Amino acid sequence: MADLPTAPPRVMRRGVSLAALLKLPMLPVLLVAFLALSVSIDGFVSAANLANMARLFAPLAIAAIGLTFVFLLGEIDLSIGSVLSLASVLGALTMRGTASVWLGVMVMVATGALIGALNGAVIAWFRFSAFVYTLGVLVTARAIAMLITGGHSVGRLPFGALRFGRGTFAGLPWLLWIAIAVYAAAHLFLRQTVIGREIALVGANRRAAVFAGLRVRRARFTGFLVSGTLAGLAASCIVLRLGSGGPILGDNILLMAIAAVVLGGTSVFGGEGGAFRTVTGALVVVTLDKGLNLLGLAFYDQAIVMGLVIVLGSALGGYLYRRRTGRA
Amino acid sequence: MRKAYLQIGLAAALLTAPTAFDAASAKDITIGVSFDKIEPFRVAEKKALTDAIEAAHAKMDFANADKDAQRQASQVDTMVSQGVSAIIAIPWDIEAANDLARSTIAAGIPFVSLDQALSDLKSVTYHIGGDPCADGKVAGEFFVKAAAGKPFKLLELQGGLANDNGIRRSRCLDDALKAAPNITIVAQVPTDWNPQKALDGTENALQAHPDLAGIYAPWNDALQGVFSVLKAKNLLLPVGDPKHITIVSIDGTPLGCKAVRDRLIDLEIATPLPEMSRRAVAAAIKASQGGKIEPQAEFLPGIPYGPDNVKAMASKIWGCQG
Amino acid sequence: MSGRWRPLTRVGAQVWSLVAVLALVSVGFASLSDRFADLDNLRNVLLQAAPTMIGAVGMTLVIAARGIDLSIGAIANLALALALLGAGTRSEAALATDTTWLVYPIAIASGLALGTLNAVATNVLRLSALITTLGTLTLYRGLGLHITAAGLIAVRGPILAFGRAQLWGIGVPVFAAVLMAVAGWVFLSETPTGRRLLAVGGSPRSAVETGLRTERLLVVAYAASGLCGAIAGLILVGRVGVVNPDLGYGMEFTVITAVVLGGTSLFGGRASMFGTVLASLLLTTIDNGMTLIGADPYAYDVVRGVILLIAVSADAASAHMRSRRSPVIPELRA
Repeated sequence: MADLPTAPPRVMRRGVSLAALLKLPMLPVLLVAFLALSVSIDGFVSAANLANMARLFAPLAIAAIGLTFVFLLGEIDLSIGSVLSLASVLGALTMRGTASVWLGVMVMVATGALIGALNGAVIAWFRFSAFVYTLGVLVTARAIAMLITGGHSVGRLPFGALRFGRGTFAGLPWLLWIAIAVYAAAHLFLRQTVIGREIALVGANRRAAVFAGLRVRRARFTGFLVSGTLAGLAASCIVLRLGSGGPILGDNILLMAIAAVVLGGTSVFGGEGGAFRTVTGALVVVTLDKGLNLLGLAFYDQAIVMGLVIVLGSALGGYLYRRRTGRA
Repeated sequence: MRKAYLQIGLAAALLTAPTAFDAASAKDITIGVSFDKIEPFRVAEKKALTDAIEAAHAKMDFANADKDAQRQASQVDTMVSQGVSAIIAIPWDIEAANDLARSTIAAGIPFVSLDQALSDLKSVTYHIGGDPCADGKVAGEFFVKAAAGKPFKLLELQGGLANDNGIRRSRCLDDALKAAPNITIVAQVPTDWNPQKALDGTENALQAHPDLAGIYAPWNDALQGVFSVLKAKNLLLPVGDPKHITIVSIDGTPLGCKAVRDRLIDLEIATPLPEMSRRAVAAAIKASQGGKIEPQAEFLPGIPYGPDNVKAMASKIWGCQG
Repeated sequence: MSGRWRPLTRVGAQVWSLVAVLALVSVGFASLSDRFADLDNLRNVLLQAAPTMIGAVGMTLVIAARGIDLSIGAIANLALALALLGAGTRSEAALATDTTWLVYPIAIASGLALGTLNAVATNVLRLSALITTLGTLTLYRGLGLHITAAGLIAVRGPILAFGRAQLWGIGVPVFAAVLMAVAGWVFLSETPTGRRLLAVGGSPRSAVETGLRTERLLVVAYAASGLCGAIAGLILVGRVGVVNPDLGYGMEFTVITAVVLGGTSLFGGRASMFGTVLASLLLTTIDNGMTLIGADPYAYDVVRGVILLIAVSADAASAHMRSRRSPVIPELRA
C-alpha cells in the first residue's frame, strides 16, 4: 500500500488525537443540542431515557455504518430499508416456527448478506447503475415481504427475543453493545485491512485506482456485501426490541440512515468519510428525533426545527472544520 | 491501533455518560396518548380525544409515531418512565404493540388501544375501536342489494396494503360479495390512503370498464379524487339517476356527510369518533385508579346512513354536526 | 469512437433500451386488456404522467449540474399551502376553500423562491446538495403541514382550472409537460447557459478554473426545479381538488427515478431530457396498466420492481456490448 501513486485520502491521514475528534463536523451541534435538551427537558439524561435512546440508536447506527461503506465507494444502496423489512419477516417467521431466537437472528443476517452479495456482484461485475438497480431491489424486496405475510407483521415471538432486545448487560442495553461491536469492527476493517483501505481509495479516485492495480471489483462487492449484512443485523436489533417483524418495518430507515451518514461528514461522492463520523451523525438524528418529541412540539414543528438543524448545523460544522484545518 | 481503540472508547463513553434520577410521578391524572400517524382523519380523532380528556379534567401528553413502530415503542416507554397515569395508543404495528402493551401494564400503567385493535386483544387493558370487518361487510351487503342480481362491475379502492384496518375493510367486503356471483370486482387499486392515487385508480378503472356500476371508497378523503374523475366524465350524478354510479364510503367526516347530503354517495358508514374517545378516556382513568374494565374490548360498528335518512341520523354522526 | 462522443452514445443506448422496455410493457398490457391500446387511455396516461414529467424536467437540470433536489415534493406542498394562505378564503358553509387566480402567481413565485433558497443555502453555507435538500425536504414539509395543520382542505374556484382544463380533448397539463420538456431540452443542448450547466456537472473544479460562475448556474437549476415542483403541485391539486398532507409526498422519489432511469448521470455532466420523458411515461404506464388488467394489489410493487430491474439490465447489457468494441477500461466509464 505504501507506493500508491495517488495521495491517500484524508480518511487515512487523520490523526486520532482529541483535536482530531473535534474536527467531526457534527460534534458541536451534537453537544449543543444535547446540553440544550438536558436543560429544557426533565429526565432527558435519566437512565431510562438514555437506554431508550440507545435502543433507537443501535439499529440506525448499524444500518448507517453499512451504508457508509457504499458511500465511501462513491456508490449508493437504496435497498437497505427493504432488505431490513424482508429480513425481519423471514427472521420473525423462523423464530416463531422454530422457537429459536438465534436461528432467527442468523436468518436475518444471512438474508441481508445474501441480498448484499447479489447487489455487490451485479454492480461490480455487470456494471449496473447502483441507483436504479438498488431501487429495483428496494421495490421488489418490500413487495416480496408484503406477499409473504399478506401485509401483516409477524409477532408473538419466543419470549427470549424480547428479553434480549429490552435487556441490558453491564448496565448498557444489549443492542448498544452490538452497535459498539459493529462500529469497532467497521472502524478496524476500514483502517487496518487492505481491502478496507481500498474501498476508500476506489471511491476517492476510480481512474487512479484502476491504474494502481487496486481490485476495484472486489472493493465494490465488499462494500455492498457489508451494507446488506448490516441491514440484516439492524433488522435483528429491531425485531428483538419490538418482538415483531414486518414488511414496512424498514420504510423509514433509508432516509434516516442517509441523514446519519451525510450529517456525520461522509462524502456522497466517495473517498472521504468513516464509521466514527456516521456514529456521530446517527447520534444527532436520534437525539433530535427524541428530544424534539419530548419537548412536545407538534410533529410538523419538529420537522421545521429538524430541517433547520440539518442545514444550519451542517453549515456550522463545515465552517468550524474549514477554519481549524485552514482550508479555503 | 491504540488510537483506534481510544476512539471506540470515546464513542462508548459519549453514549453512556450521565445517568441517575427519574422523572417525578404526576400528581394529577395525565394520559399519555400515542398516535400511529397524523393525517386528516387522525387530526379529527385527536380533537375528539382532546375534548374527551378535557371534559374529564385530565391532562394529555401527546406523541406521534409518524408511521414507525420503533418510534412508537420508544415514545410509550418514555411516557411510562415519566410516570403517566395511563396510555391511550393507536398502534402502528399491531404485533409489536402486544409486547409494548404488556410491558406497560407490567410497569403498573394501564394501556388502552384506540381505533386499531392489536392482534392479541388480551394484551391490552381495554380496547375500543370501530369494527372494520363489520363496516366492510355492511358495504358489501349494500352492493349486493344495489346490484339486485344483475351484472355489476365494482371498483375497490384499497387503503393500506400493510394496514390492518385497510386489510379488513377490503377482505370483509370481498367475503360479503362472494354470495353474489353477479358482482365482479374489476380492480383493487392500492392507494396508501392517498386521494391522488384514488383519482388515478378511478380514472384507469373507468377506462377499462366504462360500464362500471359501483365504487368502494373505504375512507372519505378518497371521495374528492373519485368525484373529480366522475365529473370530468359527466358521471357525477345524484343518487337515483339511472346513470349514477353506486358509491359507498367509510369514516363519517364532515366532507363525507356533505357528500351524502348532496346525494352524491349512496351509503356512508360513520365511525362513532366522539363515543370511542369518551369510552377510551373513561376506561383509562378508571383503570389508572385501580378499577376493573368490563368488557375488556368493545367494537363499535359504524353507523350506516344515506341520503334518505341523513336528516334523521345527523345527530348521531359526528361529521354532520355544525 | 472518440472519448468526446461517448456520453452521447451512452445516452442514445439508454433511450433505446427504454423504448424497448416501454414497448414490451405496452404490448404485455395490451394483450391482457383490450382497453389499454386506446386513444382515451393514451390521454389518461399522458395526463397522469404530467406532474411526474414536469418535476423530472426540473430535476434533470439539477442532476445534470451534479446536484440533487430531495425537496421537490415538499416544495409542491408548501407552495400550494402558501397559495391557499394568500389567495384562499375558507367557506364554512361549503366546507371548502374558495380561491382566486392569485393562487397561480403565488404558487409559482413560492416555487421559484424555495428553489432559489436551496441553491443559495448550498452556495453560501457551502453544503452538499444532498444535505441542503434533505434539510429543506424536512423544513418545507414541516412548514406546509404547519400552515394546513395537517388537515385536508377541499378547494374550489380558479385553482382547479389548470389541472382540469382541456384543449382538443387533451388535458392542458399534458401540453404544459411537453412544453417544459422541450424548453428543458433546448436549454440544455442549445443555450450557452445550459451547456455551462452540463460543464459544471461534468467537472465542477475545472468549471470553476475556467471561470464559470457556478453559483449562478446552480441558482438557475434549483429555481427551475422549485418552479417545476410548484407546477406539478398545481396540477395535482387542480385534478383532485384537495390540498392535504399527502400532496407531493414521495414525489422526489418518483421524479429522481424517472431522471436516472432516463439516462441522466447522478455524477453530472450527462443528461437526457428525452430519456426523462420516456421514463416518466414508463412509470405511469405500469400503474395505469396494472389497474386496467385488474391486477392483485400486492402485485403492483412486484411488477414495478421487476421492470426497474429489467430496464437497468437492458442498459447495462447495451453498455457492455459497446465497451467490448472500445479499448477503454470499463471502470473509466462514469
